[in-house]
Amino acid sequence: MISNSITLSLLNFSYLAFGSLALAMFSHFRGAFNRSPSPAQSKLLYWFGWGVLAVSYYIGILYQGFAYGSILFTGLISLAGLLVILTLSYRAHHLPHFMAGSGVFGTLLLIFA
Amino acid sequence: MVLPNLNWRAFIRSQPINIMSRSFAAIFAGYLVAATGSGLLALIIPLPASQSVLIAMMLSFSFYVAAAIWAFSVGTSRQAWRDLLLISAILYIFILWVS
Amino acid sequence: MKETFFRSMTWLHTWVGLLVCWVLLLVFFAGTVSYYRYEISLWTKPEIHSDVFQNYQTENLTHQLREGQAYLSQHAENAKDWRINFPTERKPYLSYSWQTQPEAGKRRGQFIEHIAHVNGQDMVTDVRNSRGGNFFYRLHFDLHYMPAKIARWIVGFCTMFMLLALISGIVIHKRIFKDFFSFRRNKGGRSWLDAHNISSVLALPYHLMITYTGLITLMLMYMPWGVMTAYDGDTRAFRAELKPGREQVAASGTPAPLIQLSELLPTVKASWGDTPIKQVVISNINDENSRISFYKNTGQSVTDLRIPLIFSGASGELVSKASSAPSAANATHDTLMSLHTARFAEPVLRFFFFICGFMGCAMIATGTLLWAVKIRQKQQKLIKQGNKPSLGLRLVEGLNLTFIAGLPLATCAFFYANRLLPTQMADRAQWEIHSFFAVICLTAVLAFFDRSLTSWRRVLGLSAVAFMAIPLLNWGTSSQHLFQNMASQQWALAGFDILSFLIGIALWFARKKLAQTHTKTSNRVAASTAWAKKGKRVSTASTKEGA
Repeated sequence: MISNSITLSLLNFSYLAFGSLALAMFSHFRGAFNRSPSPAQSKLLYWFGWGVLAVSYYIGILYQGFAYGSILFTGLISLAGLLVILTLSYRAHHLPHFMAGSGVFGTLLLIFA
Repeated sequence: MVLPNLNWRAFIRSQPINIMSRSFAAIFAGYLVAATGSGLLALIIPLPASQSVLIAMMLSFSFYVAAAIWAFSVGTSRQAWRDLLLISAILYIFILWVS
Repeated sequence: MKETFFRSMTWLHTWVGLLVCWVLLLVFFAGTVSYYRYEISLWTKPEIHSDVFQNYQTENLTHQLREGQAYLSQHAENAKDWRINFPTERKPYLSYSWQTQPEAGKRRGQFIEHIAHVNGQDMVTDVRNSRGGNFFYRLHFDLHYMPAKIARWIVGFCTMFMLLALISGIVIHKRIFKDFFSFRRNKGGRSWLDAHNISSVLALPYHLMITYTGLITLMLMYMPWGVMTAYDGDTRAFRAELKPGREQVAASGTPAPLIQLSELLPTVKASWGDTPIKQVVISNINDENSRISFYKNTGQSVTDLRIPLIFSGASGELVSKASSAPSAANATHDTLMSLHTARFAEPVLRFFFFICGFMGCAMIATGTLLWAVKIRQKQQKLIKQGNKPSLGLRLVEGLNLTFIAGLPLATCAFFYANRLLPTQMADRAQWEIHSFFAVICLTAVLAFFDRSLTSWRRVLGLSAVAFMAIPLLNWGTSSQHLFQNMASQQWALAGFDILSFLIGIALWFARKKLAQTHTKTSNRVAASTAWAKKGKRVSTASTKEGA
């Protein structure tokens, strides 16, 4: 079951990362917060998103090997991207909450796996 | 017997004929490019035969895609046919020369 | 071609996708379903649902080999080859199978499999004839009702079109990252376009990989020219150099008794350590040139190569040469093939592959639905004036209904036929397949007469109910129902029921969504007609007054 907890935690982190990348964009930030982002906020969100993505990939390879880990990660981010898009389309205001939740949940899973 | 009312010039230059011509060029001449390209590659890659054949076959589809995109990017359909057939011919000559 | 490169690529992307989309949808659909090929095959064999599933256990190997050899000697003396199949993660049962001698003119004999009971004594011999998951697997490259060669050329042709559609799609989508997260719902054509972009872009690495590797699996057929130039057309020499261990040796004719298979286990263990053995194949039985091949369960390693340990069946000595590390080209080829077949994927990763495959189907379906909407918009004026929609529009809408709504329903029909057709019926495996295609044909007939949203709702509704009822179907026609499967941890079977139910619910929601759109459109039409009528009355009144 260990690998499944790690996979689930990486899914949470990928959701957080993609959500961050989405919020870095003007229209989606407005959709979630009802105000425009400052350039600094945009930049922060953008690099945070990429950073989390990179760290997740690294963890994935660490636990599942390069070949299997890369394949698993590609699948993970497709699903995570889809979930972010669905959130933005149907519950845009909840995106920050879901992101916070997945950050916490992902960290917990990683620690206690 | 040519139909008296049909303007052949305009017909050949029309869009549907242009598209069909390019499509055939992409499909058939494109295949020739991929075939001759992978055939040549199999001969000139400096690895044991089975490995160079593998590499050549695996890359052949990229040549096909490139040729097809070329057929739809150049100015006229004539150019498409000309370019692809020319490339295949050159590659084939190289194959004859190398083997 | 068009004014700019981008306009040409946009045109190319649209047409290259559209001309083959329905065949591609069939291929993608069947391929996606075959990610669960073995699980489906398990479900379609209710005879093995109880007291058969077991895990691989190293301590049982010796016993299982001895029993297997004894059983096969007794029941399959004159077979062409024997196989002892050990339990794996996806085929969790022990079975002994053999191939009968092929009849005159045929390359292969009949394959017979007897499955071992958990009690170690009884064998299940009456498993019903069904292609199971292998139907969908074969469907996605051999199609059906035609020779395999023709089917593979058709599929290859469509795949090249798809590859071209992907590349041109990437080239034209300049705003690929800006638009990444946009999905404008309830906006008609715009929404279909967004859905199309999302399903293509989200799983783009997957789509590119599966298309290109699909071509690679059959590259020897599509592009053999490297073999023509480098080997002068000698395909056999090429294959021999590629896989040196795979030489087939013919029977000599001199009889020689087969050694005890279990005696070879220590040697196998010395070479492979704890790696589980998947299968033992014995060919040229009781002949001097008999061969015993051990195949390992490669588990999660990303490889499709089956490198066996081959022993002589008469003397027991090791015959296969030690395999050297594969060359870079071989390794690349092997990796690319494994990516396509995804045999290494354990349940979680397998589910991701399934989702990506489903997104591929969504990509194709949304593309062609978008096209239908656009054509209809263009012809809206003419249709309002009372003209019939053009042949093109009728064809596109009809094919959309047939394939997009018909394929899920046909899949259900296959599963229902599997459980409801009499077990002793002749050719029942083929009749299950006929049911699949019969439903597609019936949907096509319906589409011929009525392509409206009502038809869509009918077909989607029927599929939804049929899928949701699969657990009930299983309950009525198998010894184990869903909750029993969950309790005994037979997750392949439980998962099948659960996934079918969820698919049914999804189809029901799709149908509801269509009903809302229909009501909205009808209301809008009714409202505008009412306004128009009101306007007419007003003007008539004023004319009367005025006159």
